[in-house]
Amino acid sequence: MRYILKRLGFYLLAAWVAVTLNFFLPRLMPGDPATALFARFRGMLAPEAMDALRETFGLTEAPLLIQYFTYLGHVFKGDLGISVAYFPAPVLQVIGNGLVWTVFLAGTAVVISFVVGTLLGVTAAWWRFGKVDTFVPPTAALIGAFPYFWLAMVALYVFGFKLGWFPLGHAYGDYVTPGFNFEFIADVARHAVLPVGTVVIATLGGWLLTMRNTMVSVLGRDYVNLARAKGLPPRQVALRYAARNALLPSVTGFGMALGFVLGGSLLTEIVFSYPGQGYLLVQAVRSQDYPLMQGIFLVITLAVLGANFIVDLVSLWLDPRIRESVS
Amino acid sequence: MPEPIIEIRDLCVDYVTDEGPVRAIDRLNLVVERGEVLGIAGESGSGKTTLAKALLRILPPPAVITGGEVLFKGRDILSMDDEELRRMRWREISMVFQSAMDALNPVISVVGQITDTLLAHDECSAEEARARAGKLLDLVGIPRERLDSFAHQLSGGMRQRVGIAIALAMRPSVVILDEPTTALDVIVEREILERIRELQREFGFAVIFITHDLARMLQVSDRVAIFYAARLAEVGPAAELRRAPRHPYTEGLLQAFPSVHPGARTPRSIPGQPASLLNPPSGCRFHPRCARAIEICPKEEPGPTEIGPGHVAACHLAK
Repeated sequence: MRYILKRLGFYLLAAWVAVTLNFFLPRLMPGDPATALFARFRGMLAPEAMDALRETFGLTEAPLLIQYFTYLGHVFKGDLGISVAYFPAPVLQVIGNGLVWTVFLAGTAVVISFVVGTLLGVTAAWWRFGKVDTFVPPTAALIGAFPYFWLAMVALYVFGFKLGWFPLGHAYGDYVTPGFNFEFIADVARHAVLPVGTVVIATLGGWLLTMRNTMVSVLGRDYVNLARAKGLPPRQVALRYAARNALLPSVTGFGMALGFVLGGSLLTEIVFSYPGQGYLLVQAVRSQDYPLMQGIFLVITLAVLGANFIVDLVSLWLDPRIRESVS
Repeated sequence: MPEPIIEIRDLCVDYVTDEGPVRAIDRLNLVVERGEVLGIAGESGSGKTTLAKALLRILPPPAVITGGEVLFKGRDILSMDDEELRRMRWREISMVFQSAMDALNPVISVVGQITDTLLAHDECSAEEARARAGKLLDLVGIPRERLDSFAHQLSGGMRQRVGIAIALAMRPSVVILDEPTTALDVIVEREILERIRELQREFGFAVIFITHDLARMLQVSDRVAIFYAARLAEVGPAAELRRAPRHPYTEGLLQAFPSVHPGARTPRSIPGQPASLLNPPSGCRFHPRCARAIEICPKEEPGPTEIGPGHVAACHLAK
C-alpha cells in the first residue's frame, strides 16, 4: 500500500513537471495565437478586436510567474482555454470529442494486437519449429518493417477504393444517427475495420517476437521442466508455468503502448480521416492553435503517466517478487 | 531377492548438433531395484542428468532418445502415449532438480506448486489438497506458515526441501535426486541427505542419487554406477566398489578425494581431460588417461564383465 502511494506521489510529481513544461514551451516560440487569429481575418478586424482576442486567450502582459499560476489553477479546474481552430469552442470540449474516437480506435487496435500477438508468440514457442513458428514470426516481422502509412494507404486503396468493401474514411457515415442503436454501432465497426486492422497487422510482430523469445527461454528453465515432470496437463505447463513468467516483460511494453495510444494514432487518423486526437493535433498545428496543442499534449502526457501507473499495479499483482521488494 | 523396478536396456540418447549427432548416453544397461539407493557418479557431461531426464521423458530438444527401452514395472516408458506418460510421471517416478534456485516457479506460491501436482493426479478438493501440502512440508521439516511463501522468500536449503516435498507428493516408487545438494553448504547438505534417507526408509521408495561427489555417494548409496563419457564404466555394491574397484577410472575417482584418516595418502587427480563426446577416443574411451592401458584398449571396446554378484565393470583388465 505504501508502495502504491509512493508511486502515486511520483506520478503526481511527473505530471506537475509535464504541466510546467507544457506551459513554458509554447511561450518560448515566436508569435501568439491572437496575432494568428487576427491574421486569419485578413484585416477585417478592428485593432480593438485584437485586444479583446488577446484577453479571451489569456494573453496578458502580466509577469510570466503570475501567468503560470493562473494557468495551473485553470488546468486544475479543467479549463484548458479556448480553441483557435474551432473558435469559440473550449479546448476541453474539442479534445473530448476527439478523445472518444482515439481511445476507441487505438485502444481496440492495441488490445487486439497485444492479445493476438502474445498468443501467437506462446503458440510459436510451445510448438517450436512447428508450422506457426516457421511461418508466422518472419511474416509478421516483414510486414512490421514496412512504413505504417504505406501499409495503411495500400489497404485503403485495395479494400476501400478498388474492392469497396470498407468505407474510405470517417468514424461513421452521414446516413446513421449517432446513438445506442444497432445501425450506428455496426457502421462504426465497419469504419473501424481498416484503421484497426492495419494497426494490428503492423504492430503484431513486435508482441509476437517479444513473447516468443521470452517464452522460449522460459521453457528451458527447470521450473517448467519440473512442471512437465510433475505430470501437469500440457495446457497448465504452457500457460500457468511458462506463459505467465514470460508475460512479465510484455506487460511493461503493453502499458507503454497504451499510453502512446493517444498520441500514436496520428498517421492512422490522417490516412483514414478519422476524427480522433491525432487528426486534431494536425489541425491544431496547421492553424497555430496553441491552446489546443497544449491541451492535447497535456492529455497525452497524463495518459502515459496513468498507463504506467496501471502497469505498476498489474506487475505488482503478477509478480510476487516486486510485492516483496517494496513491502 | 531384489526385484527390479526400472530396467534400462540399451538406452541411447543423442544431442542433435550442427556437427552431427553427439551421443550423450551410449547403449546403457542398468537396473534400479525396488527400495534401494542407487548412486550415479561421473564427470560433468558424462550423461548423468541426461539419464535422469530421459527416465521421465522430459529431455529438452535437441536431445533425442534414439534407441533402447526403459521398463518400469515391466512397461516401456519410451513407448507410452502422452496420457499414460502424464499419469506415470510423479505418481511413479519423481525428481528433485539440480538447481534449488531455478526449480521453483518464482510467481507461484509454495502451496500452489504442491497442490497443482495433487490436483493433476487425484480428485480432491482444494482444502484437502492444502492440508496434504501442509503434511508434506511437515515431512521435510518446513513450518506450515511457509505454505504461502514464494521461492525468493526461502533460503537455498528450504527451497531444496520444498523440492523434496513436491517430489514426495504422490508417494512415488522412484525418486530421482539430480545433484540435490550442489548449491548448498555441507551442513545443510548433510541434514537434507539424512532426511531423505529417513523418508526413504519410511516410505520405501527407490532413490536414484546423481552426484559428482563420489565420497558422499558411497556413504549414502546401496549400489553405485560410474559413468564415463556417455558409457557405464562400472556398477556394483557401494561397499565393494570402495574396497575393490575394478575399473581404473573408478579407482582414479576414489584416489582423487582426500581422506580424513590420519596418515592417509594425498589425493591424486586423474591425468588428462574428460573425453570429448563429439570425437570420442576409439576402443575404451578411458584409454588415453588410463595408466594401465594395454594394447587392446584403443582397438576394442570392452564389454561388460561380471566380476561378482551385481558387480560389473567394462574393462579389458577385469576379465
